[in-house]
Amino acid sequence: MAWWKSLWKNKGKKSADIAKERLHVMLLHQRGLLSKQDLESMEKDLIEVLSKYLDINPGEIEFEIKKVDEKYQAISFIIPVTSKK
Amino acid sequence: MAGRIIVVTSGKGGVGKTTFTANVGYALAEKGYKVLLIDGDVGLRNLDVLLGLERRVIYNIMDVITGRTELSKALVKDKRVPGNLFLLPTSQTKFKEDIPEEAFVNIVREARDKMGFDFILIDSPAGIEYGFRLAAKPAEEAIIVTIPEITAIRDADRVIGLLDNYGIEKRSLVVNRVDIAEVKEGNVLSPQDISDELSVKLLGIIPMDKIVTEATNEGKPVIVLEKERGKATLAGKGFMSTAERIIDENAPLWDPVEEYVPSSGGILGFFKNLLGGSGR
Ligand SMILES: Nc1ncnc2c1ncn2[C@@H]1O[C@H](COP(=O)(O)OP(=O)(O)OP(=O)(O)O)[C@@H](O)[C@H]1O
Ligand SMILES: [Mg+2]
Repeated sequence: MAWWKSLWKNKGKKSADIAKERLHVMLLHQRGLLSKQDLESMEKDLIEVLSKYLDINPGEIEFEIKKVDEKYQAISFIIPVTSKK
Repeated sequence: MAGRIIVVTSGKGGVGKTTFTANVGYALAEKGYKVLLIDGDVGLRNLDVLLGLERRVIYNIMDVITGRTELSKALVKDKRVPGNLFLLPTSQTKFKEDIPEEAFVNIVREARDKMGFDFILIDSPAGIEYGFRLAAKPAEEAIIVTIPEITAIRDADRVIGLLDNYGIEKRSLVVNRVDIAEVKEGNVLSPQDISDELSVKLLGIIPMDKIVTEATNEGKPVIVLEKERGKATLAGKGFMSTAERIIDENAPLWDPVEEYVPSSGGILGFFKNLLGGSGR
């Protein structure tokens, strides 16, 4: 595993917290609120834009979706950058 | 007040629907309500076994549908709570489709309107196919049973979505087989988190407890077995307080996770304390 993954992703997280995050995304997909396809398209678009400026390894992109409150979800992408173009 | 028709369902199999139906049904009957338990798991008869009534089954729902007997004669009486607890066994036919939706709905309505049941609990089979639809059809409320595992919770969410099609708006959640110490450690999803994620009100929490297996072995509800032994159990407390919250939705939620504080006596020491040692 890449070092940043262990740093950012599940390091120090409790198993229940990881389950909660995964469940949350699965339920969003299942309820049709955010499809897997849309998410993938978003990632592709992001890669295209950012690749103009930076060297990106698409395989290393990670995202996280969290419930902020009853109404809002926050989605964040972590896009590791190898170097400046 | 008209009797309440409640389907107990889950999506995923083996999470404890039948165990819940038997135990909570018994608790409601013991509290003085007239309760009918309907085994909706056509082909796989289970509910009679959990209650230790399997040898008393003569007729089943198919006999009522085909007119071989009247509904009142097909009901198995649980003599431990005379006049209060009844079971309508399912048939062991291979084809769930043999039971037409309309006939099933009519039987459930007849039980409520003509026989004066306060609670009718329908134990649904796993899955979202015909058996589930049959069990959900006459229901006005749903209790969704799940366990703290993401696959079970995702399936529960599927079922909750389908309940919309049946106009079942009153839903509540039971999280079964909860290992309290593990939740406290952060190794297992908490019932509250599951309820938030599913956006369904938390009705009850049933801890993981070995007395459930023992009770099944002996064909006795947990609250019967624990009384015989003179020793309260976590599962017993879970079933009992869930029954209380079915009767009165403002009754407090029993949250063993919140109450749990590891003490020098470990988990057992603490819970012995909580349950008051001997009996209720
Ligand atoms: N709180 C509990 N603690 C320990 N064991 C439990 C608990 N609840 C249920 N079990 C066990 O889990 C198993 C499955 O329970 P049960 O048959 O009630 O599930 P179900 O949802 O009705 O299954 P199915 O989908 O096949 O109808 C049984 O062996 C039962 O004894
Ligand atoms: Mg069952």
